[in-house]
Amino acid sequence: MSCNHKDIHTLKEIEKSYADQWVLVQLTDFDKYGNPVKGFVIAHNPERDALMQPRKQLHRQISGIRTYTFYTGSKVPENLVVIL
Amino acid sequence: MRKFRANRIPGRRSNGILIVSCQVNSSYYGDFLVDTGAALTVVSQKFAEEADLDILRPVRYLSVASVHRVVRSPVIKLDALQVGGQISRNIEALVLSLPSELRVDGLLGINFLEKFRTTFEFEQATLILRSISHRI
Repeated sequence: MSCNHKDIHTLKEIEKSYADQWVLVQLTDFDKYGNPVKGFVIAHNPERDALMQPRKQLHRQISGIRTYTFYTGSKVPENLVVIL
Repeated sequence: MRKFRANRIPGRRSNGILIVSCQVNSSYYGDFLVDTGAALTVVSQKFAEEADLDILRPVRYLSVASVHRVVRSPVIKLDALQVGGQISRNIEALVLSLPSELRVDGLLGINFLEKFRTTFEFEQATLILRSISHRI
């Protein structure tokens, strides 16, 4: 699902608005260490694969932009233990 | 006299592990699992494809031994990998297919962490990277 509006939100607000989904965010603001803080949602979907083409397309269209794709819910399901 | 400049990276704990956002080649941000057991940093195949990383012409191939398997994987060179304000240029990374249950785009491995004085504040889900500069 793509978003047509370009309202800038904090990443925490985006996490709440698009719970348990992958979101593609065009970043606009960073903290003093360079960590991303704000941006606007380009697309969101429960499946990560759905955001691959929009991201590639966005970078082809606008050079120099910075994007962040992340999952808004728990990065590791509760019943999963990670031992790599 | 040595001076250590601390860079605090806010992360997120998820089932015990620490995850931080990383910036690859200036433009692409993704969540990476901090993995002190990984000799090399890893980027997922999906992230590599999105970020237009040159998977077809890897620097070399390596056999990768994890706890339960050994696989052969391409090694590529990232122009830059940045975490918070700390950056490492021309750093190698493995390209691996990560389990979809892990909602991350890579592993932040030793070949990045060793460039800094790395400490953790697990209670606050914070990674601290101190660079070493020399005061004249």
